[in-house]
Amino acid sequence: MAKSSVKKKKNKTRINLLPLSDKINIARRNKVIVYLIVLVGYIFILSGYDYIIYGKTNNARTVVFNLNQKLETIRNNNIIYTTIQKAILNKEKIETSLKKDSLIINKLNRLKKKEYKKFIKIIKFPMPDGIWLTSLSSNNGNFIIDGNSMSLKDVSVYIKNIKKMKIFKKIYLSGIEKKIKKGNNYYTFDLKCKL
Amino acid sequence: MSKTFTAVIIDYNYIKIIEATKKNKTYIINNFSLEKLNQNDIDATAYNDNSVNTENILIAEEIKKAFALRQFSKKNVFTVLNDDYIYNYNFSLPEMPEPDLVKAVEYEVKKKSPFPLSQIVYDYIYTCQENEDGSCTLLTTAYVAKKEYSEQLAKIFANADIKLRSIESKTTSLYNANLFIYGNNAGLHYLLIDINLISIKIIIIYKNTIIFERNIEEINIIKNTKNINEAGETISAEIQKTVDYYYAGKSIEPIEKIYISGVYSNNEMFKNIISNLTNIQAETVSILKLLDNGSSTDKHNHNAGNNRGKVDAACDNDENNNKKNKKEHKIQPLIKLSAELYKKIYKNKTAAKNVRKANNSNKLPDSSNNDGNDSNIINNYTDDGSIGSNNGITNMNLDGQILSNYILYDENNLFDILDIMLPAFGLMLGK
Repeated sequence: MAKSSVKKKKNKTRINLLPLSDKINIARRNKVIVYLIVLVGYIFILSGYDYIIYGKTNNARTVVFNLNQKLETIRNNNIIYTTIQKAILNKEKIETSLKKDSLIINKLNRLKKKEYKKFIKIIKFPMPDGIWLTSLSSNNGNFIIDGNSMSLKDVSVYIKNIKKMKIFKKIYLSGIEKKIKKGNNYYTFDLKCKL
Repeated sequence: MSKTFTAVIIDYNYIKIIEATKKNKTYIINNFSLEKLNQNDIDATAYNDNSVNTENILIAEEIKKAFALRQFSKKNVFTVLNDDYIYNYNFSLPEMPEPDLVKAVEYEVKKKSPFPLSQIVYDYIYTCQENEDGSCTLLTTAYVAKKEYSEQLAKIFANADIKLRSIESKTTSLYNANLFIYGNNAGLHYLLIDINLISIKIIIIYKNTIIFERNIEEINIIKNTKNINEAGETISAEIQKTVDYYYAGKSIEPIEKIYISGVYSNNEMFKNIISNLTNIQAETVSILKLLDNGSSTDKHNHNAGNNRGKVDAACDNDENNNKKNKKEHKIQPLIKLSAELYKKIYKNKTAAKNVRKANNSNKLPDSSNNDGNDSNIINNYTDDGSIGSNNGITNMNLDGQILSNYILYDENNLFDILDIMLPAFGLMLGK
């Protein structure tokens, strides 16, 4: 080991006769310079490494950010799509219900027309002289006829007449009541007619 | 990665500064300067009570001024302690781990140094020489200096607002420069001679180990010699003296080569004089020459002369040439000039060209092959008056060749200044 360490050095052909204190100072200065160079190098390497890492992190961040943005866009698109889907479904539902409603309305209109005709018939149909109607209404296809009569007989005649019209399947006298007004007797009655 | 180094050598009353940037394996010289201290000011301090301090303050001010003027970098500044203050001890040690080696060197230094360890600073160099059994012997040289000198030098630079990175020795810087240029191909046993303006350094290297060194002071080769021949003779005599002393009582292989650096290192004539007088093969080691090897001089000059704006392109061409040269020569030191310095140094294109031609001429300008161009060049160059001194005399050398007596060295010439910067440049080299 000793041999090789000398051989590597080959020859020494310089001398330095500076005073020892100066040599020590120079050695110290050189040491400081070396330390500084090492320190600067270390800082440089670290900052370089940091810069690379920072760059990489930054790149990764950018990639993640872009991905997040894309994801957000996709999510938004998805929400919009779902909303549109829902809206389409709703629209369809609404359309169906509207159709249904329109059918109902149409039906009702038709019914209305029919009932109207029946009302007209009922109104136009000749009544006994002692009968006068106070209201005419319909409920679930049933007609309710409220009226007053001078006598019970007139009520019976009126029911018979309606029956003759052959509009209603069944006719009930749901109520009749005798009333006196200013010394005159009369009857109020309610007729329920089923179609 | 590039690192800028500045090397400062205080050489008697001269301050040499060179700044270079090491980029990969290439050293690009950004700037250099040679400042001369005012001798009168220094002499005046000799009469003060605190003359050393005053002189040091003067030197510090000069260094500070030079750094501010040429805007040299203060980051990695190397310098050398004067050779007079450094003692070196050679010894060999077996190979061992670094901590043990440190202790072993400390023990050797303690044993050999006349001063206690608390009063000295020391460091060491070693080369590993492999033995026959595969083990390694560490041929070690310890350099020891008194702490107070080292502290004094550090204080000079501190006064100039410079924190030194290292204090070395001129010997190791020259050794490292030679290793940088020639590697292990310099030879087994050779001599390095660095000729400075007022001193000479001689180092003998054997088996890549600094075995002997000598410092010759106050030998002002420029002032004290009349011409290049006389300079060559003086230096040869010094080499001879050194070699005689070195060989006294020794029987080892002869010195193979002399490597000349510093003043005249780019001068082939001077090299030949030394070689002839010492009977040893001489080689010149010059930063200029290294620039020439690393890049084509002619191309430099051509580009500098024809198109200064394309300096950068020229430098690119040089790089290509470097690559080609690299393939050709295994050991190719890579030193270049910065574009700014290149512009500055080649500013005086005529002088630059002439210096190049005069210095790169391998042949001595004798009467038979002198067709008049060379002498014209030298005459033009010297007539210019900006570079070199000229006494216009010719001499015969030992082989009977006619030699020029022009001393080409000039303290104000950038090429010549660059030539003496090798020891400073060497401070930036080595391991």
